[in-house]
Amino acid sequence: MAAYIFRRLLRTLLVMVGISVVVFAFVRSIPGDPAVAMLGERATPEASARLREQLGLNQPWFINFKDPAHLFNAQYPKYVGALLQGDLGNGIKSQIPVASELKNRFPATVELALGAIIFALLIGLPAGIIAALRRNTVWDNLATTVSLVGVSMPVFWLGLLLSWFFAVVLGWLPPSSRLGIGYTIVPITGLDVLDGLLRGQFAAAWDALRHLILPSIALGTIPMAITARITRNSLLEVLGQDYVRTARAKGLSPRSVTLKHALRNALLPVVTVVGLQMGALLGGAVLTETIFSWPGLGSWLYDAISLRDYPVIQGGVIFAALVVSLVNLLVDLSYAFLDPRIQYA
Amino acid sequence: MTTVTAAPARKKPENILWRRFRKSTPGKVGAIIVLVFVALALLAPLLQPYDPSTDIDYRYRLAPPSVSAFWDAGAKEKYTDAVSSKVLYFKHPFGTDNLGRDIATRVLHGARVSLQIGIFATVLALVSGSLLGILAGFYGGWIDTALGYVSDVMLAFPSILLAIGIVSISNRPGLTTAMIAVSVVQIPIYLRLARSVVLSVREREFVQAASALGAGQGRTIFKHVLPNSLTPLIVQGALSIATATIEAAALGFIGLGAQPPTPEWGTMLADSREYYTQAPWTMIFPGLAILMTVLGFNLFGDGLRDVLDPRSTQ
Amino acid sequence: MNRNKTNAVFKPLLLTALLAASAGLSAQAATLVFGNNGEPVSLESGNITDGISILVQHQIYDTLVHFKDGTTTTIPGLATSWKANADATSWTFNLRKGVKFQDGTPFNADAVVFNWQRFFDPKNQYGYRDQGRTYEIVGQLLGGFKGEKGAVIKDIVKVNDSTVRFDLNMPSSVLPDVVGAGYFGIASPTAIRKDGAKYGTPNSTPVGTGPFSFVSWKTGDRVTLKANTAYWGTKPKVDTLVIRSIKDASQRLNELKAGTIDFTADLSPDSLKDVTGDKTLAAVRKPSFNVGFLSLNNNNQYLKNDKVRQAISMAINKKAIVDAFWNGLGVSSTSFLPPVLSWANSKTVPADYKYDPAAAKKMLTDAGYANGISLDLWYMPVSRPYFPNPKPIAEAMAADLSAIGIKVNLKTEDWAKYLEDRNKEPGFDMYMIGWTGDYGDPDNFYAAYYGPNAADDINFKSPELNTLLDQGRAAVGQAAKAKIYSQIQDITYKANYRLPIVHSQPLAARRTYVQGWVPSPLGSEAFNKVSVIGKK
Repeated sequence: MAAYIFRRLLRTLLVMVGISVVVFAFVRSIPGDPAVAMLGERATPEASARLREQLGLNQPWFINFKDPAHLFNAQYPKYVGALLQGDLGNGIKSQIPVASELKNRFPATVELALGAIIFALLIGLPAGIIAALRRNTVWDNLATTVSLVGVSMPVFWLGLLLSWFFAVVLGWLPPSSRLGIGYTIVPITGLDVLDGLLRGQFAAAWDALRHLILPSIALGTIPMAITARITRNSLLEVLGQDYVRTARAKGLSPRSVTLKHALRNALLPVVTVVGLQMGALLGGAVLTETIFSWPGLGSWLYDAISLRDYPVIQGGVIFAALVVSLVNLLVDLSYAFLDPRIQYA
Repeated sequence: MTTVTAAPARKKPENILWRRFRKSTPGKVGAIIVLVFVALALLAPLLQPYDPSTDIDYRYRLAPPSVSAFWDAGAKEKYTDAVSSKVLYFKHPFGTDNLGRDIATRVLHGARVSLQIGIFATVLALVSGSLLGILAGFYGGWIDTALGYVSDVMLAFPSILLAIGIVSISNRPGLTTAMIAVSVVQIPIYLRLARSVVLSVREREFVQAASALGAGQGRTIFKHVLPNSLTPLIVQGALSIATATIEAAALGFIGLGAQPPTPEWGTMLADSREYYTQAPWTMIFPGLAILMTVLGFNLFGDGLRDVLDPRSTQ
Repeated sequence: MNRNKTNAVFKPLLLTALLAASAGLSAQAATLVFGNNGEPVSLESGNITDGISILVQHQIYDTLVHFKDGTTTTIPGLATSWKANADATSWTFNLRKGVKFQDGTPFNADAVVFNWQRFFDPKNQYGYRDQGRTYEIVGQLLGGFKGEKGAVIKDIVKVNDSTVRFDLNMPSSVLPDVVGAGYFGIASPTAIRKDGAKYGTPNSTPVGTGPFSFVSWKTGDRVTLKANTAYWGTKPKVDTLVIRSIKDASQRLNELKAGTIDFTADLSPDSLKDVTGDKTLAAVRKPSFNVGFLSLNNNNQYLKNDKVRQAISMAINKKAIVDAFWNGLGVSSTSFLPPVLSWANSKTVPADYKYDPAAAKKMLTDAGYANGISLDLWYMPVSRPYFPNPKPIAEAMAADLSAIGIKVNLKTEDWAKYLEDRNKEPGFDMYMIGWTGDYGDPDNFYAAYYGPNAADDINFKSPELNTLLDQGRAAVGQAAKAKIYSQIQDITYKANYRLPIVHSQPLAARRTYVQGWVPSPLGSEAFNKVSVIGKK
């Protein structure tokens, strides 16, 4: 097991190295550089050239061939050097340290991802279970339809619809952002709803929750649909297996069979799928965050791309990829705990 | 020789497959939706009387769906013909956009664009991904390691960011670029799928037999391994069209997809953001069209799976 | 007697208490929330180039020169008066006395010199240029940095504790306008020394003399400010000012309708009906101080031809386009200058373009292109105040041009790339772009697109124009300037390289209880006069 974890971590590390190289070259290959993006209408060739010089964008990317004595006096080696000391650099114009900004943004993304997963489980699990137990009834059809429509939903459209209908037409929920103006929550975990509760600011927690609902639904719809579907299929499979039939034959009540035996086993694949979904969501939900002005990783990276803010894109993408990889590793490991048949050699 | 070895994989094809398909409700519904959209896409150019991109009419900017004239006085007034004073209930059934163009026409023409992107992107990803996957699976060794590493790196990227990156680098936002971006993002999925299928097929007796009988490697791959790997790839392909449709629309939505005046659904949605609060029809119909298409292909993919791989259901 | 006395003391007290109680109801109401159209880049003055940052900075900082509400007319700011020498090569500013920064340190000539030296002197130790500071706007508006060729300013010196002098390398009659631009707020030297290279980031405390002082900046979300009760000018009418970053115009409108913001700017002109139709909202028209135009490139084989350019100008129905897309929130004119600067327009140029497709078609035939030509038209991928919605406008222009036989290929690309490619050979055939003024002088508009290095995109080089621009900058007094700029308009109007399409009035909106808001054409008003009486 330890050897397996070690191998996986090593692989993750290698992938991170690859990611850093790719991102580094990628962002610099995007036509149009930060100097022009910053200057906007003022970007005359002369002004852009001057700013480019000031920002050090003229240095070679990977290896400084012009100066054999200082081969590594180039952008990438410097970046990696700083990275190894935990320094992700500063935003190219704002000078905001990328690391400290990650610390602000990531909790927002975590909160949204948790909200989405909770929504997915709240609706998806019961729907899947009911569909399996009442197979081929109206309920099954309803649950199947909901899950099919859900999995086909363009998230950005759903976001617009929700924000317009519930915030503007009905006025029930706030249209965007994370927390109302009247509230400040001093972070503990960085999750506003949780921190509000921990600090005893219940009104603030409630307000944060109200802000969380619409983006969570938008982002959680596809995971919800997938959860419902997997739960249904997996439960049906388990219900058809020998030990369940045996248990039934032994005269155990159907309810007890379902709850005690079938459900527990059926949930295994659900855990995997939900875990993988969670991993993907933690990488930042670009469209949902942008539509709801949610100050998380996704909207931050999206803005950074249009500004060509190299350090932000690099730091953000590497971090997001790392989180996704680690979550996937955790999912795999948890699988081993849940299903003792699996052995990692 | 080959016919004999291939036979066990698909016995009495048509009959059983068709019977299974008829039993599959999602498959049927999906197939109908897909057929309707294909028909609309093919017939769109014949539709009268509007052109999707050039029929600009400032008098009818952001006009509500004309059927609302049945109950809405304002709409009735707008759609009353000045000369004959007849109410034109079906002039713009889905309303108009900010240039006064007919949304119904644009949505229908959008089906063309969308299908084009979905199918081409999928075929591109399927072909290139599977070939790479077959290479990796069949030869193993450093090719497998290298390809595995590259796909690990690609899959670790948030996919929409990768697509944005590709469009940005190519610097030519448009249908073709969006298509390529959407397809590249999917390549690793096919690579892995094809590789795993090849690994399992390779161990099967008939393939080993073919090799033992001295069939060349290329011949073994194309005559034996490939046909037997197709089932999961085709199912994944149908589902992929759905994904590609959504992703292309997402690119359009952030302004990196099809360029105007091409009537593309994602781009139409993006445009509608400026005024959808007072003209919700500009947002509702293109969105519904995306939803329906994606739903259709998802159902169709499910149906195909029912047909081709009956064990996987339930 | 005694009782009377108590009464006299008590009554006002009671009244105050009552007032306080009603104010207590609106304790939260003393918060004013503005929906800004994005996130500020930095809160460090002198080191920004964008309007979003200016708006936030203008709450915290004052500039030496202010502008009269809603106009571009200079009035005293941190300087109470200013005066040039005879040939406008040296400007002396007398500073306001008794003003304190929000951190309690005094504002004086040392502070002004400290700020301007760090903007302007590349060697200044507090400029932190080795850590990515660029002060690019100084190069833009003042020709360059200390010691550079073309730099307008030679040096900035302290005369006495309340007087500073700007010595120039060349005459400039617009220096006070430039110094008053929202980029150049005066920050507390103590605060800058304390925060060092961090100054201006969310982890620092920006300090100025302005009506609001900094509380916090939650990135991606909002900047919170509180009233500076010691402000030297009109004291703020609210306790707290929150500036939220909401990039998307429709989302800002949604927030405004939901009452989660009190006022906002830069809405889509299409939202006008929506705003006026809502009883709780009021539309606010910002004064127009921009120009959106179509540039035609001399490098193109067809566009080289004067007649083709003129045909294009006549074929585009500018008035109909402006009426259709701006809902009355914009005007079309032949001038590159917005209406407030119309004093600088030529008397011989007609005020409006003539729309005449038949004549245009004929002109195209005369030019030898009876069978039509094909051209690219590039439109911006982003919304700017002058073209809030570029795409449909491009589509409309394309339709107009196709009517006279010019086939138009609409194109766009990423904004940063767009800005770069327009200047790269061979450039774009036709493209949309525009300008929002920094200060109220024609030079700021003409120099930005007809200056010596500013017309690569159209490959139009005119020494005559450059001489005139230099003369305009040196001319003192409106009459003298008007004479020069009217010649510039004559030349540019006839050349037809840049066709002004619109001077837009960016649409702003407020909840009805928001009072006292006079938006500045420069986009940089302080909110100290804005009140929210009756906000629930």
